Amino acid sequence: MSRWWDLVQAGMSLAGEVVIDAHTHMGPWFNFHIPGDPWAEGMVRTIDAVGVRSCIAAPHVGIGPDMAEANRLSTAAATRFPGRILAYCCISPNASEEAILRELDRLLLPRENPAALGIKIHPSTHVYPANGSRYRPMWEFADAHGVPVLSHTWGGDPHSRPGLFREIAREFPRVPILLGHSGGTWAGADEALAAAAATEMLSCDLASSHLKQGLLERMVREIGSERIVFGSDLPFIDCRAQVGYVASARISDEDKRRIFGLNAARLFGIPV
Amino acid sequence: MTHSPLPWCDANCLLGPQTVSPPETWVDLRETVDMLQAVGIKRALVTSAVARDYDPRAGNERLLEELSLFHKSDAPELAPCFVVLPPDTGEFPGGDALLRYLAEAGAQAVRVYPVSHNYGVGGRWTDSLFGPLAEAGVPVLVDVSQITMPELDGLLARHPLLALVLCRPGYRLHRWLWPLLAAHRGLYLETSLWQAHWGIESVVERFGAQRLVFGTGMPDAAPGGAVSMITYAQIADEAKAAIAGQTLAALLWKGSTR
Repeated sequence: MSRWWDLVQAGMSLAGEVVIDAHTHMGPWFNFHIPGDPWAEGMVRTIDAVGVRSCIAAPHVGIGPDMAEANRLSTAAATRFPGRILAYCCISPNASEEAILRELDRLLLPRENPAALGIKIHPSTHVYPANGSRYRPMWEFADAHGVPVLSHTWGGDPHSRPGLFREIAREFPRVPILLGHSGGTWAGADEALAAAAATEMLSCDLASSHLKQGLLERMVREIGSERIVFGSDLPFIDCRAQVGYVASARISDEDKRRIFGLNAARLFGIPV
Repeated sequence: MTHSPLPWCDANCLLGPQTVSPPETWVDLRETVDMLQAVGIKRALVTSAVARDYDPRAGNERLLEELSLFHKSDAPELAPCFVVLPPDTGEFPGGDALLRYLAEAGAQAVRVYPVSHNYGVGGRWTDSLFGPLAEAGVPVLVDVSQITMPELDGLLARHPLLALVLCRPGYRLHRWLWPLLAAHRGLYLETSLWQAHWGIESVVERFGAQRLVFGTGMPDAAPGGAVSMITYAQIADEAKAAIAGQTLAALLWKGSTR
């Protein structure tokens, strides 16, 4: 069927390939129990179990109440586990503009050697629309410096519906935008694919608790495998599930290679 | 690493058209079989979506007819799982007549949809259904969306012999489910959506591998992720085999009363 699936079915490591999980978090979350160690050491243990080379982390506290604490945690983890854990700069629209710009400067400049590789926003938990004015300094910064932004997206949510990012991409054309969860629902996926088909700077991220039947195959047909990025939501969700979904998809092994890691490497400037 | 093929048996596979589902999930029996085979699944417990979304009896009959007409060498073994209703309205038989209805069709388990089919889960509405099933050893499957956790607690307390497989429990439910797993030995979790970080390992460690039964959630979900959660689990090969299929195989009804 597939070399990828042969390895996964046998429970063998994918470490010989480039696998990058571009959508991870870190730490606990108020709404539910995470049975495995949710901190950096536990995440590395999990990616080791399957052979994921690197994961890019936006700690949960950053999609909740404290972006600065999230950025402290992710950069500390990146220092402790170099190359295995990489950092997002979490931005909350509920922080002051001064605080947002301070975090962006601190983590993403100088561009030659930044502490973080991209920006993570979660308009749904922060209950603020991705195209609202309080996000504007972040979009302007990302556009000025060509920094990729991963945003949570969800169909039907006025704060994060994928169609919003089509408008944002038009206004900030230098920002590579990763549509987290590809819109989540079936209607959201339809909207994400339509937006990505119309706008080259939009890519779709696969993080989800399950992969809808036939969706990945359709994504490859409609936007090409070059703009689909592997993500899992670790440690909300165990990345070992998403690995199996991609490995068993009815697409070519070359498509899988791009989706599993080469696209994220290109998007975030990760050497392979 | 998994050293030998696991005895995969899918506890959660729907067949037939659904009222609300996008075109990607409209797969016929042959496509379903192909997808099961592609990921190495040798056996599946199959339920009629028409029985859920239209009429239980008609859907069950349609399932049997479809299975009887399907022939493919080396195809996975497909075991019918019938959708049933409580007997009070006369739509379905009760007691021994229900067991005969199941046995004559070769049904190896039943599935209930209390929310979709609009009846209560309390004893007033379901003791006449679950009592005979528990006594006869017929396993019952129910989706997590069809029952509340307090209802599940009450149901299993009233029927301690019942083997109940909760389908599609997700990664946010540990605080609800761990006390229920501790309290009710007849509760099993189907794994297609059980994708919490080290969720498989944590249940195996606290409650034993025999409380998890593998399922795919097809055709709504792609099957590969459910497989990889088991193949990569940091548990003994014996535990993987139990989850992959041995526990479910032992639970399935063999057509006789206990």
